[in-house]
Amino acid sequence: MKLKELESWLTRCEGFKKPKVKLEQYATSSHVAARMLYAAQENIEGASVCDLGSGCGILSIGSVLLGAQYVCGIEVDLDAINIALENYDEFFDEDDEPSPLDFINAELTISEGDNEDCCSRFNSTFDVVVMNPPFGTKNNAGIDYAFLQRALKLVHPGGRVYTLHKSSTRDFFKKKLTKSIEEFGCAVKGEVLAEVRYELPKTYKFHKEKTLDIAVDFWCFQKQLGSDTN
Amino acid sequence: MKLFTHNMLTSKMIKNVKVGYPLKLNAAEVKVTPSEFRSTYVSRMLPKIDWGVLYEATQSIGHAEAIPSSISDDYEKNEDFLRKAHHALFEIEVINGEMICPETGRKFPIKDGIPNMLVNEDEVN
Ligand SMILES: C[S@@+](CC[C@H](N)C(=O)[O-])C[C@H]1O[C@@H](n2cnc3c(N)ncnc32)[C@H](O)[C@@H]1O
Repeated sequence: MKLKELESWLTRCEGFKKPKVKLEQYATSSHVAARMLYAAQENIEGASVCDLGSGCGILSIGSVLLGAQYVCGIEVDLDAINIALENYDEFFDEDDEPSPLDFINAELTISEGDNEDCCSRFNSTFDVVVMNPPFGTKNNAGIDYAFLQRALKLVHPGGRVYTLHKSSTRDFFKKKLTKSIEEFGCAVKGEVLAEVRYELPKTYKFHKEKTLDIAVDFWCFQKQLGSDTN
Repeated sequence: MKLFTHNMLTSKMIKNVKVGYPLKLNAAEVKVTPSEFRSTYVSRMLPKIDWGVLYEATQSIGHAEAIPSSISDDYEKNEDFLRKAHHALFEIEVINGEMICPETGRKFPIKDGIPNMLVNEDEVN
């Protein structure tokens, strides 16, 4: 699918109705989502895709549009999943239309250590993870990195993680990559594919502007073959 | 919720639960939707699947004839078998029902196709 076409489809996706600040609920714009998925396109077609913190589903739905065989969105907030289902129906309204998409209403364990959660058996299963994790700006510093660690467990060796992280964390991530076996339990390569401007909605009263424009890196990480320890 | 998803989910996050697998499946409403069959994809996924659990799941939700009780040795070359596996894993969906933790009996409802795996803080380690 052409980038323009994908983007224009994705503009149909609605965002959060009442964003829950604590969960860092801001939807990926159709502009950014289309570029992420377009870059991942050849790995998504016919593949299994996981969307961590799937929110209103723009990345999950885009993966279905690009021909994924199985898409699993994991999201803690049922209100968000319901919006995602409404969004999905905008594209595929026939009841008997094949749907490769499953949502799971679950809270991913993202604390330090190896606490298992309901989705741990999925480890080393997915071809691709696409995600826009919480950036860790709400008293939860480090959650973005924990999401990445989790995502790298979920893909099989050779699998890829397409994700967004604040550009201010780029050096930190690069450092982690130099000791990836220690940090992720497997050899990982990563590169920044693009830097995008990202509008965060205003959530503090003292913000004068309506939105906060920040620089965000679009990363692709690949778990290296023969390096699985999960 | 597809049976593939059921095959993966556990209740391991609950306090004192050792394995939390498989979750017993009860279905009040089941739907079958056709989906595209790609033989390479199915045979790639089969090593991830607990076949006994899949078989048990098909039995418990009224699709007893869907798959044979044991996995075919030469499944990669057996298209008929792969089609059945595809059907069971990706086409049979539980719309309403519940899953039950084998160790604690804790129920996880499935509503409108969405499994609710949320637990309270005091239930986890
Ligand atoms: C920045 S939003 C991105 C939403 C959506 N993926 C998108 O791209 O538009 C992050 C999402 O992660 C969810 N989330 C936060 N912590 C989570 C956790 N521990 N487990 C599952 N989902 C979580 C939030 O509810 C929110 O929907």
